[in-house]
Amino acid sequence: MRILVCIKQVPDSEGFITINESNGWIDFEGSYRMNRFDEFALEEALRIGEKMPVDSIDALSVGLPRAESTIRKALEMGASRGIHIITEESSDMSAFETASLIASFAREERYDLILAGVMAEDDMQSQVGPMIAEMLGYPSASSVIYEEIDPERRTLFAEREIEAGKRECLEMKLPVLLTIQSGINRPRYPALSNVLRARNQEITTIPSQSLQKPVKRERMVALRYPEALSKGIVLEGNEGEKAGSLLQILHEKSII
Amino acid sequence: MYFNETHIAFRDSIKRFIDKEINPHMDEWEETVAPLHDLFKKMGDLGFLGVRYDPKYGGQGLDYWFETVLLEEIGHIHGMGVATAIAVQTNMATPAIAAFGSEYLKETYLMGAIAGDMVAAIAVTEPDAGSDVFAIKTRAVKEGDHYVLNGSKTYITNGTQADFLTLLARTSDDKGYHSFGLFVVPTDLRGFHVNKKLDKLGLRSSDTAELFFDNVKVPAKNLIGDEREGFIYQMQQFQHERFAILPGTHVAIRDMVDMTVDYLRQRVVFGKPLITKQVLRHRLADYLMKNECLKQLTYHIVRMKMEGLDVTREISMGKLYAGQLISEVASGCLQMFGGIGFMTETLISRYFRDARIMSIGAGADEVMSEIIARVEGF
Ligand SMILES: Cc1cc2nc3c(=O)[nH]c(=O)nc-3n(C[C@H](O)[C@H](O)[C@H](O)COP(=O)(O)OP(=O)(O)OC[C@H]3O[C@@H](n4cnc5c(N)ncnc54)[C@H](O)[C@@H]3O)c2cc1C
Repeated sequence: MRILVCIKQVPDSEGFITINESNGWIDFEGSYRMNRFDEFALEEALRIGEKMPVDSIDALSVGLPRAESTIRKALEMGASRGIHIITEESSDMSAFETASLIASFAREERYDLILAGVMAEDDMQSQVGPMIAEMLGYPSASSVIYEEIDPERRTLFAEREIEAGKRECLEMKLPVLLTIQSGINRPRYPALSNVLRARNQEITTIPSQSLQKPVKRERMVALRYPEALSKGIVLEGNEGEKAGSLLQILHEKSII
Repeated sequence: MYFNETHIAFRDSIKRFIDKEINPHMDEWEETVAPLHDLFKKMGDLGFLGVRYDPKYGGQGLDYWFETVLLEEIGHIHGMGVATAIAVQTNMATPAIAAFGSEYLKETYLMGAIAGDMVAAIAVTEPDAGSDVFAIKTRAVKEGDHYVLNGSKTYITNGTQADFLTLLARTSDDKGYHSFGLFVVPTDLRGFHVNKKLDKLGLRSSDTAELFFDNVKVPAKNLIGDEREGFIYQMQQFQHERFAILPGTHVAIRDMVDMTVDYLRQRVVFGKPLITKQVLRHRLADYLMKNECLKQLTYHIVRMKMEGLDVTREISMGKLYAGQLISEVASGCLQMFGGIGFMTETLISRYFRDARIMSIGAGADEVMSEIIARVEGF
């Protein structure tokens, strides 16, 4: 059994993002970390590895050189191999391009199972996983909240979350691609022995140019802030006047 | 300068663990005390409890710098009770087993403590003997293949939850220091009683107990090393214990100053944020200056330990200074918070209560001064 987990480095939500008008992309002040949904995917792979013999759990990221730190985090959590498809441009990579690069790598590797997060917290497209499945011709399920593999029959049973907390149950023949929903497990903290191992471990680097070049199908024309929908009002006057105008507003809006 | 990328990665993983698994529970644990079996199992699985110990027994086999990283990070815990419980497990009750214990003791108790399967406690202090360790009265008398233990111990951290105690007892009436034995005493033996959980000013997330031994038959194989050398082993173990206090103290002091600065920036008094008051700014700067001295002495001690030098003098100075400084800063920071600092809901009030023990436990300030004077030859 060989497992691939797709992990993305995303800006930490505690950082500060602004649109850079001059280069049409963003400026980010803050640190980067692993997409939380991918942490669930990686944890699920590690748990499979604890339940049955697994030859390798590879963690792969497509991204700038800085994504290396996120791949190391995956090794610290327990992934057996780190793979970095290094891209250069910092502006937008479409889901199609990312999926093409991963599929082009994964095709040769013949993984039995590919896991990805249900979406990336930053782009929120939920496209990369299903696209890879399509490119490789794997059956797939998205938003998976439970999975179980039968190694004898080489089948995978999955439950996916649907409306109102109900679950849809599927069975698929391996190889399979799943996108993992949050809450399926509790991602572990890196054990000290893995932290030490991860420091010295070689990460396989692949320049994106060396893989099959994806054709860009969508072009981003602009990034925009949403228009402010409602404005705050600062009431003027002394306390009595302010209370009066507040009362009037509340009446106008039929709140009281 | 002292820490490389691997140390930093280790630091991050402990930090994450503390932020998610410890700090969110601290308010509750201050009421109920921390559930150590559950907590230590999680920490043991991650390799946090045996940083320096031999991989043969489940440890990581790393050096004092890695240990320092762990001890620094537990200083970020919101209250010193849990940090104390952890340090007892890693640095106070187990170093003598690792250094002088038999293969049996290491495979059973050291391994259990490193894995987090067993909770450890160190039992030295007695109702009539604290600073004067020599005055302890608990006795272990050899009878065949076991020792019969009688006596009591008090103020024992982790005492109500411990699976074993590393315990000092008198083994002979001879004068001099060669009349004590250090034992590993399992707490499931007949005749062992936890008299009560003690109610304390601070460290409320840590349990502290009074223990009682009524003809407890301790297997002879549970003796650590030589039955006459326990006092000497314990004096060496005290060095690990006292050192363990230093890294977390300079970190906790920094956290106190940081939380005070945050508060002073927001608190407007006489029309201006309090942080603009020179008298307060300077006092905080003084705290940081002193804390830097404590931190540098701590790192100096680590360097000396790495060189295998005797650090009794430096550790005694560090422990003395740490105890004095943390109380000074906790009290001074609480002062700057004003009335709200006196409220239980404010973290600084917990630090203020917890800080006080640092000048008493693990050897009181005066005991440290006495050691320094003696080492200096007067
Ligand atoms: C919360 C807590 C946790 C503890 N955990 C443990 C534990 O896990 N295991 C354990 O064995 N013990 C533990 N102790 C005990 C602790 O180590 C002792 O309280 C400490 O050593 C002081 O001993 P004592 O209380 O008997 O004070 P005493 O020895 O009675 O001393 C009282 C005071 O006298 C002064 N004094 C003492 N000696 C001298 C001197 N030579 N010259 C001048 N003045 C002096 C000091 O100011 C001292 O504080 C703990 C204590 C507390 C409060």
